[in-house]
Amino acid sequence: MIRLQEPELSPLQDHSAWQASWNDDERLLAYTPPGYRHDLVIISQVKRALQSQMPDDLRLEFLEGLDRCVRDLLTLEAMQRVEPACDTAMKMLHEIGALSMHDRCRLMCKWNVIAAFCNLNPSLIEAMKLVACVRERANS
Amino acid sequence: MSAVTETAEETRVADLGPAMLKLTPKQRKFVLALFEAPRSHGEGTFAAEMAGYQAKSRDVLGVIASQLKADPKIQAAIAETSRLYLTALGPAAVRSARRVLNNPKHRDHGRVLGIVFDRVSPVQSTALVKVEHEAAPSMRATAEVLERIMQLAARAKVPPMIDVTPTPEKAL
Repeated sequence: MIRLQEPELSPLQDHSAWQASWNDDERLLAYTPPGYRHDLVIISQVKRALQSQMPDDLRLEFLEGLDRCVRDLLTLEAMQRVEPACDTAMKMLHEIGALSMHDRCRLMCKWNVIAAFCNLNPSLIEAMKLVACVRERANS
Repeated sequence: MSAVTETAEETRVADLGPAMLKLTPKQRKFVLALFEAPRSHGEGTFAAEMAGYQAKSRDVLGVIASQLKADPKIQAAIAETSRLYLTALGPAAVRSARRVLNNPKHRDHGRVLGIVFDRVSPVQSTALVKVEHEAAPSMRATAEVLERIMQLAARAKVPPMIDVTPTPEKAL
């Protein structure tokens, strides 16, 4: 379970107290690069979309997109570990989709937003653990 | 009508095919008379006259004959009777063929000989037919797309296709 920041801390405020209170999952979330976090959320969204009926060419496009997500720290196992997004997450993603790419990326970097996605879909944390394992192996 | 004529008429009716049985006696006579006409030109008028159709002139009789021949029931009866006649002509055809075969000087002797040989001991030939089927580009593309979907879905561990079979509605 990832706690939300209430009230949300600004970048200029002291985060040490907040960081000291992190549990393992929160620490994992904080240390996962935001791009990978965003990718994992997108994977959950695509997997949810693949559960609906669609033309074959579109299905292939989605599957190709999933396949392209597998790179660097995001391994095939991590991609496979992500479960499809739930209705609430899809609603959130639909609202985020209305923003520009820049705003979308900024929003996905926010703690409370990614925490909400992780709480709705705990498989994201499981996938982040696999990402962290790869990063540790790379660093050692 | 005498008893003998009635019996003969009944026998003839019993020999008729289903298409002829659907016609009236007058129409049956018309169909049979078509095959007895002395020449092809004016056979309809002849048959109509023989069947007992009456008109002020032969032209009108010709119109009646045309109308009769356009009737699908009569056309079916003509086809049926034609088959019977052709079957009955078999022995006559064989007799004629035999006459030609017995006469080596006849100009069609060779042709009839060939026809008889073809039917008695037909030449057997083996034809090797090689059929090559090339899938249409769209079909091939579809197969490739589906194969790729299967591969990628297995890789991502997601179901490749969605079952959209409608569930039966529950009875109210």
